[in-house]
Amino acid sequence: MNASLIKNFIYTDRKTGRVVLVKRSREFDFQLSSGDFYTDLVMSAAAIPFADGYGQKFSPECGMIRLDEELSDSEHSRLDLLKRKIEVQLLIHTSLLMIEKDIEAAFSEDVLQRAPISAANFKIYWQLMRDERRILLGRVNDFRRRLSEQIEKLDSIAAVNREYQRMILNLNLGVYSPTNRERKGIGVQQDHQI
Amino acid sequence: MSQVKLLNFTKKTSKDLHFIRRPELLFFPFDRMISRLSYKADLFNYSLQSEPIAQFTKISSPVLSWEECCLQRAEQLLRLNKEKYYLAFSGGIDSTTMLVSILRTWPKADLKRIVIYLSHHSVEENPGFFDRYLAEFPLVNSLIDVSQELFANGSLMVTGELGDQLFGADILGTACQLFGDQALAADYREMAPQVLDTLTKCPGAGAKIFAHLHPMVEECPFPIRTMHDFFWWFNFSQKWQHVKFRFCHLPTWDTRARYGDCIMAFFDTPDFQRWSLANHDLKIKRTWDSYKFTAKEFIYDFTKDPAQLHLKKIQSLEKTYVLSEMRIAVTEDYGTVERPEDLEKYERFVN
Repeated sequence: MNASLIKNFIYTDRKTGRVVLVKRSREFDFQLSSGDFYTDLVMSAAAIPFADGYGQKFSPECGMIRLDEELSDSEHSRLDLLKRKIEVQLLIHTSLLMIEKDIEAAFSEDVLQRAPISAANFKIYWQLMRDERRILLGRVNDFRRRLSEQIEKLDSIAAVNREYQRMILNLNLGVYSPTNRERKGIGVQQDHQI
Repeated sequence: MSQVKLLNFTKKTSKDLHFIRRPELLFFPFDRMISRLSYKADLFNYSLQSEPIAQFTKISSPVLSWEECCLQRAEQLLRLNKEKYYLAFSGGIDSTTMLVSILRTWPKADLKRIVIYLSHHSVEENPGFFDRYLAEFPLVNSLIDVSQELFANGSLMVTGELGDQLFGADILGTACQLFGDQALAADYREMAPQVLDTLTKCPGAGAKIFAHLHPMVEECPFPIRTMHDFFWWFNFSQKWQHVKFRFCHLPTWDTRARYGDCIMAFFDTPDFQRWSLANHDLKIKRTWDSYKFTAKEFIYDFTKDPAQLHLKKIQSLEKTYVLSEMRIAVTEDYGTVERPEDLEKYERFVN
């Protein structure tokens, strides 16, 4: 994959077909979906222009298409809520992606093979590491699944914000990352010597 | 005021406890102090389930050496005669001390009761010790909750908790990073508020927290002069119970698995605490690298591995918490507080 390309994740309301939000990334996958919206992914050299306000729909053939028809107040409010739900999911999702990246780095074959463990015990060590990686990634995946269900059932922006605050204040979302070798100073010196 | 008191406050942060009348204390770890002194700085009403420090000054028997404390504790744990012992190994100085004590004292046949509870961090922190002494034992990953098994099978988990409280405090490591090793011997009255400001990332908060804590120095059996004196005394007198009972802060922990029956901290004995009160000169020298040098030498004497003299002081717990929501609080009868607003009835500073 060409790293210079931008991934444009376009989130569209299923009911009205209107684009609610666009998220751009060069690295991570922000593919989300629920009963209320779906995601299109477009790779492009430049960011796809997007105007806030639910006045566009997206077509794979024509790109963003401006819509003149006004939304009713109730539909507008519904899309405001949907947009906030997607925003919160993206915020949490970003932490999850970083945690996953950190896990993969910490348990990479390169790192594990450099561990100063004797040949006699290396198999035991290797098995321990494999199990831990599996447990950690399973925990991230379970969390991701639950997060989507949890956010989806909320019925107001205030409730979504409250839930987000609750998660920020009492959930360990990787501020202290699971495997942060740099923070602990583990392996840093050896890496520099190499 | 509620009849039932708290055993521990375990919520990740207290910043959203808007009802608290002393908001200057809503910073970790000052929001979870449980005083073992006459002077109470506690934010909530707690049931004291750890020794008041004054009781140690009344004991006249000789204070044991570090080695004697360690070996006696290991023997005492064996006398509990549990079928299985889960030994929580973080790779750090405290849990390595615990394992050395047990390896030195338990007969070979009894070592078969041991399960090592660890993670890959444990191995990274102390690969030599893992390789030489632990790889032969049954291993269980510390991401797996074993509280139900401890309760059901009558097994005992022993942790390396409370070692920090005997020697000093992690805050001192931060102070050394900020101001260099000379921070350890600096006048606490000048430097502690600055360090607290940095820790809280809130200019002015340090002075308020310091003013709130300061009366505790009156009850130390020797004069508090330096940063090390001050933060060790804080950790020893104000944080002991929080650390002792934080094992149940994850919602997955079965609260029927209680302290004393299913889990114990290796360093939770009156002898270790008396050692700490009587041997202030054996905790640290002039540099942060020398922190816990007595424990490191104890490990070295057994392993003869020079690397054990240079173990780093590293916090060991955070990985276990990834994507876990913390329990808000636990009451003295091991009930759980389910909503932050339910804490209001336990607040101490009501006027």
